[in-house]
Amino acid sequence: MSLCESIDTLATAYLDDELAPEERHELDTHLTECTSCRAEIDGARADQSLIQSSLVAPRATDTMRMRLARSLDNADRETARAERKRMSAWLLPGSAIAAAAAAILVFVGVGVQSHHEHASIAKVAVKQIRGAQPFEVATPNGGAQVLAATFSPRVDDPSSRELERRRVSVNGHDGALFGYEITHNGRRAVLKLLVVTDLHDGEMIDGDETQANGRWVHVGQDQGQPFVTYVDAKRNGFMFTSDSLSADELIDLVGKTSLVGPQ
Amino acid sequence: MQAAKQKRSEFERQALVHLDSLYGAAYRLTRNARDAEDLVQDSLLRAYRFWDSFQQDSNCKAWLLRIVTNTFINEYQRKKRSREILDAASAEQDATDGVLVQESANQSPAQRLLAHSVSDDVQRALEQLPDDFRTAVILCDMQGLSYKEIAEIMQCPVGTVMSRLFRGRKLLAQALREFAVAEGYVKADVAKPDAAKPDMRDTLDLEKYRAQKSRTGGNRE
Repeated sequence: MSLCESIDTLATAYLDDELAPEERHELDTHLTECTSCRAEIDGARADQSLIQSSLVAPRATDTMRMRLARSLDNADRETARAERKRMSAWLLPGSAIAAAAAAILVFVGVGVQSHHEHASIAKVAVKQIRGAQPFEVATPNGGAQVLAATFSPRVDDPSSRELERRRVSVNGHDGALFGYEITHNGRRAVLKLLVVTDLHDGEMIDGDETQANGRWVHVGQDQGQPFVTYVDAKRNGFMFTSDSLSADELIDLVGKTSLVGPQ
Repeated sequence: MQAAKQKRSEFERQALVHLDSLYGAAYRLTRNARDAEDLVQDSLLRAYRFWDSFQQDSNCKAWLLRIVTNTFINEYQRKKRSREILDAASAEQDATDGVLVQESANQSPAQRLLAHSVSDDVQRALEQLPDDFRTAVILCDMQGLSYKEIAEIMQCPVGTVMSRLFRGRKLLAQALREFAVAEGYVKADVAKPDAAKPDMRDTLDLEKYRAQKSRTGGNRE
């Protein structure tokens, strides 16, 4: 069979350096005498170099590296925690083993271990809201997306009103902070609601997991001020906090609110 | 604890050095920055979980690219579809029961702008390729993997890899040239005339060529 018949195969392997030395040599010799095969190779080479120069992609960003490092930290903690639970399960009576196994499942991703290298978004935000920590400088258009989503603050209490809405930045995450004056259990209170987008594993989660009207939320506190966080399937995070409401009252409110993040 | 620390540092040294490559491949596979970031994040976490099963003497980059490719093919596409369904469902829900109601379930202006600037000519050209062709071209021309490595990742014979590369390159080069013409970067008569009809001949197969040659080639030498 002639080389010309198989030139598609040979040209592809030739350019990808997959030919054996003797095959390569044979084709090189053939190319000196066959113009049509030479044209095939030249065409394929032009296509390949056009493609190779076009496919150059952007490099991974520093933000991405940081997020990845945080996820790996979380994975390490989960492994360590599962290991500890597994060990302690051996020491428990039979009936408790199932409960311990369930606890491992429930607590995956929850910061049980106190971990101070980077405080959760929730904790940092509460410090910022209380004035214990300065607000970070938001990126020029950051958070605009969240604000542009236009939340209508119709809390199911007719006397509630919106006090403020502004762009904020927490742990480098752009978001929006909403303030409402509400009446809850007969008391006036100021409720702050933080919305951030593009969360990665465990960035917002802080405190103990519990259920609020069918929704899994986390309840934590910073210097006595409670906060309740919820992360939806689209990685939007919501945090409720108030200096005049208890954790239970906040959970109650979160359970009653339809939380819709920016798309 | 010591073992865990060692695992982490090994992973950082051997796997994370390929982050740029993996992101590049993911960016061209998913065709947008946000999905690419999620894909790389998911894939590397998976790789970390299965780090113990990585054969230390094999090609780490190829192993990681296999995970990225599998995650993309098996899960990412499916997840993306179900996310679209969820989005539609929750938009409907919001319209009926919202306490905090969003005005529009559509993209915000900022997102629309972003989506636009990201979809450059190359991404549009890639979009026209079937997934299998695109994957083969990315693994070969972008990542420099061998036919054998690509065949292992894509779980197909080397001949199939070659056919996908051959057809994928023709289609992709044709699309790139068409966009270049449309945007006025290249004059129409400079575009390769024969690129208009991508060749759809039989499977390319180096092994078959070699087998045939060894049967008939003896008398020519």
